[in-house]
Amino acid sequence: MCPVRWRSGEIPIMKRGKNTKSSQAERSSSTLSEPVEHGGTALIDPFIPVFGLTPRIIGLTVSIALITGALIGLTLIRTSRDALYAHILESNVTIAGLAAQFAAHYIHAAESSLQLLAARPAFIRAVLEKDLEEAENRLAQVLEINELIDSISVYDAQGTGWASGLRDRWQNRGGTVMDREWFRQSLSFGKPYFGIPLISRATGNAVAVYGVPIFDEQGDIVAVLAGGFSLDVLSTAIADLNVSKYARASLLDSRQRGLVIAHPDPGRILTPVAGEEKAELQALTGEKGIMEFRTNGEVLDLAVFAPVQGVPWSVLILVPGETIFAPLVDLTGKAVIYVALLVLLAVVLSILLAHAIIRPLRRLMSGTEEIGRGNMEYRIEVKSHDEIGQLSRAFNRMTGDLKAITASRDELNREIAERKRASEEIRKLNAELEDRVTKRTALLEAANKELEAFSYTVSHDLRAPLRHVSGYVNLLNERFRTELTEKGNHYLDAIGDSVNQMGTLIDNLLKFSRTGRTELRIADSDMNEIVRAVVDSLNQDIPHPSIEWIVGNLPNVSCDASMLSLVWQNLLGNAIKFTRTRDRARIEIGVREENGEAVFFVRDNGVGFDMRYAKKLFGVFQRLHPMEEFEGTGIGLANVRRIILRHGGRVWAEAELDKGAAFYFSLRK
Amino acid sequence: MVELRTILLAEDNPKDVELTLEALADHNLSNNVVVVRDGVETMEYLRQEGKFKLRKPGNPAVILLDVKMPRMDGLEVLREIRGDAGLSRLPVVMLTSSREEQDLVASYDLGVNAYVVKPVDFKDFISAVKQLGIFWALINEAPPQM
Repeated sequence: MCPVRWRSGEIPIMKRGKNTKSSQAERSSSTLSEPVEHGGTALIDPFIPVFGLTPRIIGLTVSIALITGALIGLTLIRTSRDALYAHILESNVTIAGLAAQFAAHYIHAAESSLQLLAARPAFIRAVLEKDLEEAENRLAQVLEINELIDSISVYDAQGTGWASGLRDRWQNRGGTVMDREWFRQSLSFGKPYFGIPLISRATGNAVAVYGVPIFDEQGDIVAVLAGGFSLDVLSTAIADLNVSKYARASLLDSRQRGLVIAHPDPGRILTPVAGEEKAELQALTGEKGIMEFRTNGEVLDLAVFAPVQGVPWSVLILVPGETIFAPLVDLTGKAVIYVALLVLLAVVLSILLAHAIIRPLRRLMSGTEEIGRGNMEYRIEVKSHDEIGQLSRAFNRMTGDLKAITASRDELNREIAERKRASEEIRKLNAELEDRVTKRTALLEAANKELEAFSYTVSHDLRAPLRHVSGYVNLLNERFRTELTEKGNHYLDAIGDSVNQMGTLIDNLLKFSRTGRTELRIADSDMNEIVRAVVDSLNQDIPHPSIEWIVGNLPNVSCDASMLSLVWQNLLGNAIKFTRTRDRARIEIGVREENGEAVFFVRDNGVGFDMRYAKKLFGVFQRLHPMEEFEGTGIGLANVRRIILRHGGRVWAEAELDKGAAFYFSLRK
Repeated sequence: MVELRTILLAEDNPKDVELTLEALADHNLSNNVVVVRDGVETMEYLRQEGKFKLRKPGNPAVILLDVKMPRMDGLEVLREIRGDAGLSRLPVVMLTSSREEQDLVASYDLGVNAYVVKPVDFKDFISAVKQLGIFWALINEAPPQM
C-alpha cells in the first residue's frame, strides 16, 4: 500500500493551457505577412520579419500571463486545498469530538439515572418488598425522562425478569437474562456494566444494556437494574449531527472484535466491523486521531476517530477523498477559465500594443521610402506622445535637415556642373588653341621651309654666276691687261668691284635670313667669354692703329651665345670701323642693371652719327654714311636688332656727330 | 713628293670647269685633271665603266666634287664612293658654292675629307684651288690602291 502523505499531487492543467497559447501565437505571426496599408501609401515590404514585433509581444505577454496565472492559480488552489483539507479535518475532528462527547454525556446521563435509581433506598425497599407497582412506577419515571433508555427493567439475582418500566407491555416478564453477558458481568463484578449491544428481547430493538446491581443493606446483590440504551436513538442523534453531505459518522464498539453501533446505513447496525475497513479497525483501538488512507484508486480518504468516554465506543467519521476536494475541482475549473480569459486578454492587448507600435513604424517606413524617392516635403503625423512620437518628430526633423542638405547638395552639384562645363569650355578652347597653334606652326614651318629653299637657291644658284663673272673678270685682268685700254681696264675694275659687292650683299642677306630662321638655343651664357672671343678675333682680322679696349665685368645671361656673338661682332666691328680715323680709338664695353634687365653698351669715340636719322639706323640696307667713307652693306645693325628682338630685348643708340656713338641693347636676366 | 696623280673634277657648269682648270694651270696641275659632268660619269670613271672602260687604271689622288649636279649629285656620289669597298678610301673634297649647313652636315656625315666653298672673289678662288691641288695631288699621301 502506498505510504500516507499530507500533500497531494500536482494539478495537471498547465500543459493544456500552454499548448493553446503557443498555437495562437503562431497563428498571429502569420497575419503580419499580409501587406498593410498605412500612412497613405500601400507598403509591401518584401522582407517579411520572421520574428516580427507582434508575435514577440504576444509571446511575451502570453508567457507573462500564463506564468502569473499559473503561479497564482497553483498557489490559490494549493492554498485552498490545504485550507479545505484543514477545514474539513478540523471540522470533522470537532464534530467527531462533539459527537463523542455528546454520546458520552447522553450515555452518562442515562447511566447516572440508572445508578441513582439503583441506589435509591425507596427503590431498593420496593425491590426487596417485592412491591411491583412502586418499582414499576419508578422505572417508568426514569424511562420517561430518558429518551435514550429504550427499556428499563429489574431482574432478580437469578436473572428472571421481575419489573419493567414498560409495565404490561414488557415482553420479558418471567423471562431470563442469565445468558446475557451484561447480566453475568454486572452480577459477577458487582458493578454497573455496560453491555455489548444486542437485540433486546424485551422490545426487539437494538440496544446496549446497562446493568446496575442493586444491593441490600448487607451488600448483597438482590437484583440487577437493566436499562437498554437505544442504538437507533443514538444513530439518529449522531446522524442528526449532519456532519456533511459526504461524511459518514458511525459509532463502533470495540468489544467482540468490533461492532457497528450506529451507522447512517441502518443495515449495518450491530454488524461486525468489516475486516477490510482500515478506518473501522483503527477506530477500535480507541485512540483519538485521524487517518488518511486509500480505499480504491488514488483518492485519499479521511477518517477521524474520537473515543466516547466511559464506554468502549468510538466515533468514526469517514470522509471520502473525492468529496474532500470536490469544491476544489470546481475552483480549479474556474481558475483555468480565468487564466484562459487572462491569456486571451493578454493576447488581445498585446496585439493592440504591437499594432500601436507597428502602425507608426510602418508609417515611418513608408516615409523613408517617400524621402528615398526624393520627396523632401513629406512629414509624419505625430500621433502619440511616447517614444514613437519622439521618433516621428526626430524623423521629421531629419527630413527637414535632409531637405536642407539636399538643397545645398543640389546647389553644389549645380556648381560642380557649372565648373565642369567651364573646364570643358576651357578644354575645348585649349584644344582649339592647340589646333590653331599647330596649324600656325605648320604654316610657319612651311613658310620657313620655303625660305630655306629660297636661301639655298640664293646661296648656290646666285653665287655661281657671280663667281663666274668674277673669275672671268680676273682672268681678263690677269691675262689680257696689256691688251685693253685704260678705260677697258677701268671698266673691268668696276665690274669686279660690283661683283664683289654683290657677293657680300648676298652673303649678308643669307646671314640675315638665317638669323631670322634659326632656332634660338638659349642657355646661360658667360657674356665675358663671348665678348672676349669676339674682341680677340676682331683684333686679329682687322688691322688698325691701337685701340683702347675698356671691358667691364659682364654678367651671365640667358641667350643664344652664337647669335650674341654675331651681335658683338657687328657692334664692335662697327665701333672699330667708325673709330678708324681716330689716332686713339677708345671702345668701351659695359653693362648696367635696369628693372631686372641687363643693358649692355658699346661706346666709342668715333665719328658718331646724326641723331635725327637714328630711327633709320637699324633698318635693312640703311646706311647713314656714304660708301666712300665707310664700307658696309647696312645690314649689320638690322641683324643685331632682329637678334635682340628675338631675345625679347631692345636696341637703341645715341650719338653725337664727331664725338662718338653708344649702342645699347637690353636682355632679360 | 711622288709623281703627280690624277685629279678628278666633277662639275657640271662649263664656266666653273674652265675657271677651275685655269686655277690649276698655274702649277701645271691641269694636265692631270679628268673632268666628269655629273655623278653618273663620276662613278663610271671610278669604276672604269662606260666611256672610261679603257682608261688608265688606278684611283685619282683626289675627287673635287660639286654638290649640285644633274642626274646624281655630289652627296649621292659621296655615298656611293664611301659605300664601295674599292673606293671608300678615296679622298673627296666638296668644292661647291653652297655653304648651306645641311650640305656641310650631310657631307661630313658621309665622310667627306674636306669641304671648300668656292669664294666669289676669283683671286681667292684661284688660291684655294691651287692649295687644294698641291696638297692633295702632291703633298698628301694617297691611300694605297685596293
